[in-house]
Amino acid sequence: MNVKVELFGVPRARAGVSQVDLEFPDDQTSLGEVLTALVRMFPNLAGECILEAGLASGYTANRDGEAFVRDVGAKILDGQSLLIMSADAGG
Amino acid sequence: MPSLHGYHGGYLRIDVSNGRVEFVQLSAAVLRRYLGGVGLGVHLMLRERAAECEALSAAAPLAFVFSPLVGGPLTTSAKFAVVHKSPLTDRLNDSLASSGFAISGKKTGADALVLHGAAASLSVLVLDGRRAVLEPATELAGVSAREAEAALLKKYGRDFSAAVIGPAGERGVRYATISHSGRHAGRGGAGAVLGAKNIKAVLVRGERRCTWSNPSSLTALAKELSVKSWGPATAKYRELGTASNLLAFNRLGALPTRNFQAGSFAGAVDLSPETLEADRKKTRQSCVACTIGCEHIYPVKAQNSGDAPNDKPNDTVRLEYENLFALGPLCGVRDADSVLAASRLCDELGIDTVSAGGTIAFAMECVERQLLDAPWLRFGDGSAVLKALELIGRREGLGDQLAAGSRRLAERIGQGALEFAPQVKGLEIPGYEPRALQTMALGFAVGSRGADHNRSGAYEADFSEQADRRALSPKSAPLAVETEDRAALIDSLILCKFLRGVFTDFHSEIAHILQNTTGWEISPDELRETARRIVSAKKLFNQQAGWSPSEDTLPQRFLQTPLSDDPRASLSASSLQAAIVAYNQTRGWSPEGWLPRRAVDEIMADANE
Repeated sequence: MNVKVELFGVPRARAGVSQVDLEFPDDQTSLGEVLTALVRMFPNLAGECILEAGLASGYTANRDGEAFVRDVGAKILDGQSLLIMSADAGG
Repeated sequence: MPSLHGYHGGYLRIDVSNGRVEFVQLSAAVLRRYLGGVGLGVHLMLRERAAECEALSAAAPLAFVFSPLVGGPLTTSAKFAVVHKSPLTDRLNDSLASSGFAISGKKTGADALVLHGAAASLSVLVLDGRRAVLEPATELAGVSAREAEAALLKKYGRDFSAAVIGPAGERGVRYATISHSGRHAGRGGAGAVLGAKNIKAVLVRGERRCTWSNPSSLTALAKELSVKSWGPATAKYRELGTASNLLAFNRLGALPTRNFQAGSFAGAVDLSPETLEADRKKTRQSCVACTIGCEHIYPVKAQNSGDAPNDKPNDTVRLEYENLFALGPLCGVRDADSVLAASRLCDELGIDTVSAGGTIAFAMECVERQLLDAPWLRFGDGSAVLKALELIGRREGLGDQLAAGSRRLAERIGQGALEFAPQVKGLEIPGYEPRALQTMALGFAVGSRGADHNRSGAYEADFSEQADRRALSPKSAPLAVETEDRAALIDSLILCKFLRGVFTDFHSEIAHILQNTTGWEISPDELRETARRIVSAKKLFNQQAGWSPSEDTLPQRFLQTPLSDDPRASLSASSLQAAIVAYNQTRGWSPEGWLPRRAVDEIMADANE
């Protein structure tokens, strides 16, 4: 299955890309597995944006521009987009 | 009065018609119940009966309010609030800013400066300690705030700090700002109130310092907070600034575009900080006493509005999300140089970028609908935005109508224009599309100063698992209340909201800071109660000024039409009303939003002490 990850703000700056397509062997995966794969691909995300336990406190994830998710067990389905951005929307 | 730590124990009441100064004592009980900043400011407005005054009359008071933390070692604490009745909304207005003015102003020996009256001609109020002198300022008429500040500090000395208005404040533009060190107390028209008093600038200096209850512990807490402020919770602000919202909001369909006709903008990438900094040399700055450094300064290229060329090619401008959104996507403008130049022009004139952009975008839609005869004012035309800003600054032609804000312009136009004027209570809506962020929509509707992303942080709920951002429910009301209460505390202490992510246990940590500053044994629960009191006091001011429940709403556009580019982003009048009732009940107010008698009596007893 494929998941498109879109990065915004600091996560984008750390990874150096605005989006990346990830492949997973099963027909669904989890937020935690996507984050682990991201860190493998972009080690600069570790520690600041992504911790071992999941997203760092200042960051959030959004499925397909719809629901926000933080639970590492949250399901991500084939073809979905996962947006990683700052949880602080203040401006 | 027993000695106070963190406070001087009173405010200076200054009559700017004659320079007379009176020190008015404030009890420790009142200071503890309203803290400082916005909280103390609303108390002072109730005490001074400001709700009864016409906002631009000589009698209307305007307060510069400091806080117990000003002058102390805590990062971001060099802040002050400007509180008054807004000429834009005719309701309470409180705007905040950071600069040395807070530190110098508090050193005059007062916790606030309350200005009354009006000078006979354009003047500078020079406050040296508790002594006031009015000096003529006719040579500064029409001069930008930046140039006036530089001239005044050169003349009076750099040990003074200045709060200055630009040409827009002098001419009564209802969303004029008060500027200081290039920053603005921006929303709600404080600059017009100062201008109506014929005061071009307030200069302050002094030597009176407050003591701290436990200086060594406070210093240790300050070091700890500074270290946290360098961490990941503030990386967004340091690295990209508030403008980093732009692309994320655009992706979520939450970026107001073409006067809120859409939630995404095709030119967003062109305006993003990632694009801007790729081909422009950006610098960074911090406010006084701040360790975050969120200011991202960009060069401004010369632009020509068709009327007056920008002849200052070396100018720079601070780029914030709000000026970027309001002068860019909201007006359909994707040319970054135009947006930077427009933002710079707002600084020069001394006007609020959100209200300026909102009013211009509204006028553009009126032109599109043939409700307004100004064929040059078209969505997407950056030079038209510049021309409109210049006309606003001079209050010439159409600019005179635009200077009154979108609500007054809509009322003048009639023909249903009010339905798509982008405002609540007269204050233009900031860069959060209400249909895509519906807890924020609730925050906008009930906000005491109108549509406001700084007094309500309800968007935090929309960016979480706690709320469905496109399906407002009464269950969201406590979330909106919580963020509004937290903002009331932060704005009264005063600290920068960009620090909010660094606290692990906000109320306990703030209580600890206040204990070491003031010596008061303050519990987290007392702080929660204080926040609720401050929000209620704001509501009470508005009720005294003529508020009615029908004001707590959004323009019909948001309640009747889904977003054109996201049909699921739809908000009904009934769901908003149900959430408003839940909000009011969560606050302990009547379902319509009236304060209970007991709360009114308690707050007015403080005001009448």
